[in-house]
Amino acid sequence: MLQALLVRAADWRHGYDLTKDTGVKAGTLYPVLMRLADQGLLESEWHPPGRPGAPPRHAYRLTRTGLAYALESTGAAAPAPGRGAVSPA
Amino acid sequence: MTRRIALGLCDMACRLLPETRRRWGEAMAAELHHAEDDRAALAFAGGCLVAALRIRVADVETRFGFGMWAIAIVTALCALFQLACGARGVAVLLGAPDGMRAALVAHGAGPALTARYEAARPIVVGCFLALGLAQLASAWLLSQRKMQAFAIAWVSTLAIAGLAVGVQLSIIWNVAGVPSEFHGLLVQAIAVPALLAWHARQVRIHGRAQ
Repeated sequence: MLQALLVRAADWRHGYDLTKDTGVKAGTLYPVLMRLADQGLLESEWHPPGRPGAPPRHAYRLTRTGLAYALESTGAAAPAPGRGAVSPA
Repeated sequence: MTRRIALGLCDMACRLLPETRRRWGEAMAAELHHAEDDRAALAFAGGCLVAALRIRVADVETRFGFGMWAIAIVTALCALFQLACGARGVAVLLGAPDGMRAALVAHGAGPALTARYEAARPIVVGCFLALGLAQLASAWLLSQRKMQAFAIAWVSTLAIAGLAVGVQLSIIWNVAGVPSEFHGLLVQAIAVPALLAWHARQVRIHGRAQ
């Protein structure tokens, strides 16, 4: 999950897109997101919907602390080459 | 139809989440509108329900509430037992056969002992009824998490149980079996402070808004 959030770390990501990108089901994704947010590693905000009629979307990205933590954690776990490409925040 | 089921599941997930997590429920529901087809929406909604269940089960307040309800149910069962004893006593006072008196006579009790027993009978029956009602009140107060009122009810119940046991021992000095009045109180005296201490520690570690 942290690796997925590290990819384009500066961009806001949505829950549904994260399930598709990571293959992690919503039942696992949301408790993880909540825990990361509780620990101050993830920030969230409501974004206006991209299409008419849809409700606003909740978007997420790593905080500075979250970014540092994710880099440390995934570094320790030796991420696969090509993953963990971090855009400048 | 599939989309409607997905919406229903998501709505259920929102309701299942603790109050402090409602915002996340809205977030999950909003994402449902971005599923590419009904099948994907249903799978996503199922996941949301699983997430809500996981969060609900891990929620400190929910676990604390379950604990309180469990103790309240045990307390209520003890109360029902005491009330049943009281009701049986009332029936005896109204003329039903008294098995206890018959047992005393069968074991060689003299006229003085049976007279003492009969004199104390209304007080003992009253104690059982009062004990049952006080235990019921304790159970209700626990379920409502009114801890101060519960403490008062608990002390009152202890006093009534003490009186009942005192009266019984004044008739026949036989400690075996008499302390059953204290069983419910003992369960509460151990379980309630333990649960409160656990809750306080969890709140200190995780904070209220999990």
